[in-house]
Amino acid sequence: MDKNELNVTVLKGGPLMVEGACKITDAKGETIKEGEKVFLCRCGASNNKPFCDGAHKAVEFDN
Amino acid sequence: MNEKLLKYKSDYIEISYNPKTCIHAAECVKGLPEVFNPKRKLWVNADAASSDEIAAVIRKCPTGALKYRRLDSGANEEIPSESNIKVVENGPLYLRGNISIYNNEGEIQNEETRVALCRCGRSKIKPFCDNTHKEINFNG
Repeated sequence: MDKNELNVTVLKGGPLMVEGACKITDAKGETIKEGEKVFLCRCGASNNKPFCDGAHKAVEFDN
Repeated sequence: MNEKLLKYKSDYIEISYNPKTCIHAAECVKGLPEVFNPKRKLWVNADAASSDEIAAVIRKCPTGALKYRRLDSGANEEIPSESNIKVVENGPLYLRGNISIYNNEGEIQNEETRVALCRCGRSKIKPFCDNTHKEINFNG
């Protein structure tokens, strides 16, 4: 995969699965993480945002 | 999210606008207020600046609600050479790059260079952000 490619899969009832050379930064531009595959919270309930911690199951996130 | 695009054009550039995915980041309004003025009835005036200036401001639109197509010899939007994901405080994710969005079945849904994805869980247009995080005072 090219370094500008991001493949985002919207997992049903769960997080975003992001594959590709992704650099995640905060609002100030500081790097939070660089990785090839990350799971990002989509339900709003993770205690480890922006990453998924499985909380979508407890809150029964249904989209 | 390609439905209901509004289009505005000059002889040099065609601007498309998706009101559903606009979250009023206002990069356009700040960058070229003579072109993008939400107080005007026809809020986009594509003749009020050069096509290069308009294209440069549209590339700053973090949600991809604004896009352009050059009708002159200018270059269309390039895919950024490196991808980036920005976590907006109490807001969405801003993605940039050669972005492909798939559904749970692995079917491609969208291809974008700029997009804002919901992080609060409450958007009505998931996976895209629709600013609902503001209404619910999303904290994260």
